[in-house]
Amino acid sequence: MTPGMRHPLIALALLLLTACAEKTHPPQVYKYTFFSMGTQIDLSLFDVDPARSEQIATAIERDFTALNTAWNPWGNGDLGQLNTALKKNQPATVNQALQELIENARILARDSDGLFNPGVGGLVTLWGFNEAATQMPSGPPPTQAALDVWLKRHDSLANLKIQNLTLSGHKPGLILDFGGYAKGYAVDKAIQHLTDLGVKNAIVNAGGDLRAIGSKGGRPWMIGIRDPRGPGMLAALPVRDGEAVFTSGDYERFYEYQGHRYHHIFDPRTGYPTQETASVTVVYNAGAKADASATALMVAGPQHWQSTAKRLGVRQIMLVATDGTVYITSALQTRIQFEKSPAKLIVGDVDAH
Amino acid sequence: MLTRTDRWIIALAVCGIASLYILLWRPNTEGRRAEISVNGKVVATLDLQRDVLQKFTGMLGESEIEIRDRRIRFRASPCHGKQCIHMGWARRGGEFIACLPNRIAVTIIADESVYDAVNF
Repeated sequence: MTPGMRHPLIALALLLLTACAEKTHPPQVYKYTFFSMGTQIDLSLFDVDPARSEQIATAIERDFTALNTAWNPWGNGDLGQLNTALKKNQPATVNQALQELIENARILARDSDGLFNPGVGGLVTLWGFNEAATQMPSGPPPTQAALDVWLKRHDSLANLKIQNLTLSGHKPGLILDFGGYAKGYAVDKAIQHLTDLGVKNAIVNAGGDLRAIGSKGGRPWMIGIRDPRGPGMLAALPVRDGEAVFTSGDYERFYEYQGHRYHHIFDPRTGYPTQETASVTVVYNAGAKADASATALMVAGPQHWQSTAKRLGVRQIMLVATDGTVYITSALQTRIQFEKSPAKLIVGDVDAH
Repeated sequence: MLTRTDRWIIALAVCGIASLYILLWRPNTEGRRAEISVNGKVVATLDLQRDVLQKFTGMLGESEIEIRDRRIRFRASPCHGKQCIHMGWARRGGEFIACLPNRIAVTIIADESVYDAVNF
């Protein structure tokens, strides 16, 4: 060995020693779990004082518990009482929070051309999905005559008027159900509360639908997107500050009757569960809109999802058809990491429609 | 001037560093344990290195959870849709499988999680 070579080799040896050094510990994430709104809520907090994290998580749990009571369409809370009043054709009044929920939902219903329709409560009841998640209906499905009666009512928020916190313009018997929207709204409220409490890095995950703020020690929060038709993950997605990732699917709540599967997301134009779409994932910077959009795009299906998405103003979408074809916008495709190769991948942009 | 021996030593050292990096610095995402929670509360932490078949009681009844070959799954559950069983095996850090109607959830714990949350 030449004398000039000794210094580089010493440097290499030092590098080897560095490689043997003790690994640094991964950043600490404080996790808290509870049940609300018929599902498991997971809260991940990063870079929060451990002594404070318990207090923060308890505050968020209280929020969810209150919203769960208030917005249960068939319970004794604000929305349940409103539905009872609507059913009995009594004067229907709302509080400020419910008015805000209805007004925001009405905008999304309009923008989706009625494919997201919180007036489907009567339809949900006909199919038996108004019971708790633990009590799944077993069929038979409602008769066509019963569905026709509901379809002829044209239940929606379109004609609903709210003045001085009093509802008018609706048909007696309208049942409001914010199932395709309330979870997103609740997640947004939780994120807002966390921000108010000074939390900068967190995920609020409500039964698989989630919104994240900040990051995990400078690297983005990583989200696994479950395969709707098989075990494991279909894809992974690094999420940006404030983004929500919501998925609607035909596998979440369903029953089988005489060889047919009937799930809980309905096409308000036919009265039947949606077909052709296994799941729709929407990434957007608000949970409520992502939630309602995912529901509307399930109804729109593989033929019309782009035009519906354009009207709603959402651009990061993945739709998995029942035949396994994955439709995705280029805005999402550039950042998603597929863990399984889709049977067929079709990239289509919302703006092209 | 580098001799042939010098070049060999440098090549070996570089390979050694790369190997040590992979062995020691690369985050280990293989699950070590699985946390079982019922109704949002952790009721058990299972070692994924020990094959086991264990029952947990939830809202609807007993769910049977199986650990085999360092993976975990729902083997049986009293829920209607059996979505938990269709979710299959989980083994990597951050993976999450659950029987939500029975309120039983399984989260994989590893040195480093692949996922911080699971969307479904």
